[in-house]
Amino acid sequence: MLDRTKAPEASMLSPRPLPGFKTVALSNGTPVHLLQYGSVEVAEIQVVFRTGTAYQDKIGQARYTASNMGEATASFNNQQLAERLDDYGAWISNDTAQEFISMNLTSLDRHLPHTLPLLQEVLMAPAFPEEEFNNMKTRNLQRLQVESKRKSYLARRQFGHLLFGPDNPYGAHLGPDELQQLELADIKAFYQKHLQAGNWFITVVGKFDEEKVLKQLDELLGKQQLEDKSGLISRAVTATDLLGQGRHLIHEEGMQSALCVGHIGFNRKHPDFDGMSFVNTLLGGFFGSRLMKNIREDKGYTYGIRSAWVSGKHKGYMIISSEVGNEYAESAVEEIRKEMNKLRTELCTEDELNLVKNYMLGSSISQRETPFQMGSLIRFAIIQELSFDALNQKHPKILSLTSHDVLRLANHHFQPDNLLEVICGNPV
Amino acid sequence: MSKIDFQHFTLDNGLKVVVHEDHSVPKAVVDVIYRVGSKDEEPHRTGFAHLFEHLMFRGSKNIPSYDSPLQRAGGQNNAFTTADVTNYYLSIPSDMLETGFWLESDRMLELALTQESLDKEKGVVIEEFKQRYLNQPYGDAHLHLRGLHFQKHPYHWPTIGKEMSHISDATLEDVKEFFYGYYAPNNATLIVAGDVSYEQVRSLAEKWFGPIPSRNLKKHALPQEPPQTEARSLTVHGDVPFPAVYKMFHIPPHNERGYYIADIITDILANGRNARLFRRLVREQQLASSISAYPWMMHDPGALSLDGRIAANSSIEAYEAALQAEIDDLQNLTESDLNRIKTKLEAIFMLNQTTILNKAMGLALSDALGDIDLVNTTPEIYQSITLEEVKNTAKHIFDPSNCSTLYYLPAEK
Repeated sequence: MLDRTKAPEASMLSPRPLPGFKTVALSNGTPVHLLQYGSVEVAEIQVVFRTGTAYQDKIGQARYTASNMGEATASFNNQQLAERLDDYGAWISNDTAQEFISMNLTSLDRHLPHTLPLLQEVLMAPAFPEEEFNNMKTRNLQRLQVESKRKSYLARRQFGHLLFGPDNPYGAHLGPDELQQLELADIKAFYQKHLQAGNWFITVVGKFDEEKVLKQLDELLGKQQLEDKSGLISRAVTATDLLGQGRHLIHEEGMQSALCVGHIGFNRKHPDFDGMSFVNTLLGGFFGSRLMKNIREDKGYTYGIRSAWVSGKHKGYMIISSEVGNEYAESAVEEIRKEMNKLRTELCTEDELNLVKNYMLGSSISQRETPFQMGSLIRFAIIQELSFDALNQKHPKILSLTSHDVLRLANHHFQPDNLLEVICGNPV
Repeated sequence: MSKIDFQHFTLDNGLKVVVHEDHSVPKAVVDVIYRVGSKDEEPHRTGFAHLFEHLMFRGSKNIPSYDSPLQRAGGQNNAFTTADVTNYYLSIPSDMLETGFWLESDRMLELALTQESLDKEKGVVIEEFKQRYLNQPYGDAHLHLRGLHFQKHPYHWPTIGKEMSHISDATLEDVKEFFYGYYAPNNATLIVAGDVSYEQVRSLAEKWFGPIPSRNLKKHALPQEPPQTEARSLTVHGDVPFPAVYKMFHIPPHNERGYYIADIITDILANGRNARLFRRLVREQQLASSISAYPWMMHDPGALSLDGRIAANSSIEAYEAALQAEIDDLQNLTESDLNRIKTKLEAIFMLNQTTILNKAMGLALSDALGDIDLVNTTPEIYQSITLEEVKNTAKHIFDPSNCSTLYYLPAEK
């Protein structure tokens, strides 16, 4: 007789090392990181610049430079460029973060001879037509005006302003007013100063013909003289932080209130980073977290609540966010504080400890499934100055954590009495 | 293009099991799709299929918590409800595959429903209703438009429910009746994909799902939507900064060729920066700040949506006139326009195959639609569509008498 009450045996998972990637240099010294990954004959090529929102003089400058580069080039106007890409079923996209801007080409391997030259055009010869810039600005202003009706957006923006300050790269937030100030000249200047050969590296991940790709990359991006861009400094290093605390209410009519609650943390280099990423998962980082169990499943205050322990290259912070019925806003914040305190005063059980460990190791398999995910991981490691060997330490470290470690980490790094609490809505 | 290889068998209780092997990463996906959705609800008790999806995570007959044992085994899961189906899927390290079978089979066998768990989950769903539909700019647009577009068919109400009171009024008895009427091995398909073998899946399926009895399904004929004969429109006001225009047109069901033609038409109109409406109405004429077009994946005759947000210095009249001109201009479409879309669709299919979950879900949705081979034949259908078909279908779909329009205007202050 089948005993359905008994779970099939679940053993502890073992860490799986990341696959090593290969690094070569183009003729001009540009580093190229290559990884064969996946069974679909598609490749993603990222050209990553060591710049980003932390390097801009005006809010929006970095992001809009990246997106305008892909609009039109010396040889192709917007429509021609879009049609060329469509002809080969390829995409050029961009990612802008605090510490990098990445221009990405996604293409079937067999089409690379036709698509890679388009990426080169976008990188080397963007045309920055005035009309395209103005249209994009108008469209996005309207989009941001709609966003400004969303309570979660307003709360998140205010949270950044109060914790770090609106001029700090960690607190800056592009809103309608900031976008209004942005001019085409800002974009052109940022491009000239930051998005140049020499300030970059390349990643190629997928299933591709390595010899052909390297030869083509060398022809297209390996001949330019590299400029010395080592003098560019991240503002995140020099900015001061406001460290706001206490309750801040933004009054907006509606049925729910958006909450953003948190405080300052530490950067990626801190020895407790992996430990706190575990503690954060336990608190609010997954569906079975304590906050989800308490505030969603037990109380029914919300559809979802999550916490994040964010560690950037230079600074870090904790943020807990949720949207709750107006009548529950006060109690939800109270419960958040209780859950943080509980982690600081009570040992978690062995069962919960093992559950979160296995959850984190298991879900990492899905986070490393596609070539696109691996490309982002290589990019992350290089920008953060972490080797894959160092990243491979994360899981063994997490597996070694004890309930006493968790207590110590929570005690040391959670500050439930110094919380910044932003509530946007009509709480009662 | 590479095909998704799969094998299948059916247990004595009627459960169909599909196996797809892909050993590239040590992970397995277990997907259970039930052929029940919001169209099976009664008009005065809507939102049930979705509420029920939530309850499926509140513990089953022999397992008090669904999530914890799964997470303990390194797995994660989610689910969604549409008008036609309810789909549950989990990803798990392949060594732990049996845990997935244990969990999914027990909740197919019987749920552990209590008044308390029902009450708590109602609260969560009501907050979801607010968060996703009522407390967002334009969030309730499709709630209004569906009711206008589908007047007889139960697609009339959205999956979240027609109104919040239907959810708060749900009783334990209603919920139990729903379970036994629709949750049964003979109303579901199990897909197991990833780092698994056919033999292994076969023996696990027989062990865990084999003993579940087949059930008498609640059968009911759905009222079909009569052909629309004249244009319909509705105006609503809300706290939004710009007017928006939402249009819906009747199109064939998802398993008919006409659906795929409609899908290509929406790609030509609004998918990507080269799409006609985006290029001309958004970029060049600046009549709208955004436009999207898409077909709804529905098992019965469904809908094509065309949503536009009006630009600050534009007007609804100017937008609608330009939209009509673009619809007329579809008759001037060329072979090369169509080929471009086909090339793009081929690339999208290949990209979709980079995850096991996508492949498993493709198998699940195709099977629920009544033809599992669609998972592989869909690209061929798209490639075979001709220019003439596109033009004729466009003419037919965009007939003004086939259209319902919702005007969403900023509230007067």
